[in-house]
Amino acid sequence: MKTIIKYTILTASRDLLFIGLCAIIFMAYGFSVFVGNTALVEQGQMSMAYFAGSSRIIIVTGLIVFVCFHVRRSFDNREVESILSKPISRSRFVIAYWLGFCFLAFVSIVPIILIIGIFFMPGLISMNLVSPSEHWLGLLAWSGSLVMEVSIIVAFAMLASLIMKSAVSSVLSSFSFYLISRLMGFFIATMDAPGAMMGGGKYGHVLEFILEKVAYILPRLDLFAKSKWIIYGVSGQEDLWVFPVQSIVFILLLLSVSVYDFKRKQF
Amino acid sequence: MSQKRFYRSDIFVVIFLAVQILLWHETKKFKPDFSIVPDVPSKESVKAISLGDEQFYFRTLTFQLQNAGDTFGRFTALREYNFVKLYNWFKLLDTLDPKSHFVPSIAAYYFSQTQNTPDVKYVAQYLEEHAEKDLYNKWWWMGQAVYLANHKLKDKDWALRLAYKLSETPRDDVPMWVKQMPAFIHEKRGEKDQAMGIVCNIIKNIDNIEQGEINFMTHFVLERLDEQYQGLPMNEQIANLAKDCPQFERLYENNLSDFEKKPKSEDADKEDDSASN
Repeated sequence: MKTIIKYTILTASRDLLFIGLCAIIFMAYGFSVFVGNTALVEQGQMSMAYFAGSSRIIIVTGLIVFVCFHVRRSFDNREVESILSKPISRSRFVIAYWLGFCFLAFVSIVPIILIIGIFFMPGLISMNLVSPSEHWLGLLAWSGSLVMEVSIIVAFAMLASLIMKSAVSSVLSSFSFYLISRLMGFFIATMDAPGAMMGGGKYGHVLEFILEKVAYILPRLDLFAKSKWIIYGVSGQEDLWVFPVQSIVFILLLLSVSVYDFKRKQF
Repeated sequence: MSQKRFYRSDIFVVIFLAVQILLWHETKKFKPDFSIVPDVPSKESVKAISLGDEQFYFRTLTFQLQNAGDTFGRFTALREYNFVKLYNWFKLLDTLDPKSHFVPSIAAYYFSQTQNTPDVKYVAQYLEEHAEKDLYNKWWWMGQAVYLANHKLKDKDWALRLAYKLSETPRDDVPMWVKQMPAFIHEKRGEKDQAMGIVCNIIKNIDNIEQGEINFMTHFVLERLDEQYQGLPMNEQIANLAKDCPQFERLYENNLSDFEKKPKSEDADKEDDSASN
């Protein structure tokens, strides 16, 4: 298992994943500080929100592309068959692969946390809305939920790459999954007010019915990595328990589906 | 040596280049939307587009609103802005982040500077609605609304209503002018006895007032007493007031050395007047 994790890290290094992501994250930092400083007030909060939101999108995009192309290339180069010829079960193979991707995700997220922690520390950039302890708690919750969000995304990207023959299709399906999961809060709101958002007609009801069924099987990613946690802290957040529980449940679901599919794959 | 050859298909390059240039003449009339204040999206669409990170989208929209009208190399005078749209933008952005001070700040300090003064009513209206949802943390914006209604719009009735709302701020660590504001507006309206009543009420109900404020309020009351009971000796004036506000009498006696023992110069009177205004 350790060998597969090392192999994943090695391929990521060869693909310049870390360097590429770090470079884009630093550019996002510069852009966020620049844009934030043009704000009339609350410059610190503006920079923070921009950096937190944009770095989340960068990490998710980078890892989806990497995971999908890496898995498909491993199949095309017959690397998977080579690894499976060693004494390792297919279940362990899938889990090891996912752990490797999670490690990559964690390593990629660390610079973001450091930048937020160091450069946006109270005193360096004015963030006088919350106390320092609230600021750190918010950063902890945001970082933890971002790691978990990305762990879900890499698990889905891996599953999509195992199922689909084309890397492009798996990239597109992973992006769609991310988008729909992030929209899930909006979908829930539409269910609370039937007919209000989709229209009261026949098609509106059909759409709402479909959304309701989709909502059952997709995670609530809209409750993960909210930039406001870093700015205002997490006190009074009643939904904070959702992200760890949702992550565990959905990652286990994705891994079991991946194992189910991979065990039936013919080489 | 390369030989120059001409293929019949090369003519298509020339034809399609010409067609493209002709097409440009038709498409150049379609220009990007250069409206000053963009149309206000619905609350639902904003929630959907935010993809769960409302703070990130809030900051994006506030940045867009701050720079509205000053993009594509333009500089637009504030009088040309559509303040109805701006008001709706302010309200919409409050649904994304009601805690932030960004929107009330640009409303109070930037958009209120419009050359078209009647438009300021939208700003004052927004500030009133924004502040009264959370007066504990947002009292400052109610103060700004009072200022706009009183000084810019010259709407003393509205300013008085806002001043009373401001004075109900449920915290003790606000500056004393927050509680005194209705007195100042009453004074501006010529309702001096009511102004005195407000200040007396503060003296009656608030403890631990700073000495500077005590001096100011005592002076404020004494000045109005003199106008109300013209001709009566000071002791009788105070005795009359003490029927309603016994605290004032004690306050006056405790601070007697500061007020009445020293004869006041005309300059000092003028300074006091300007402070009360």
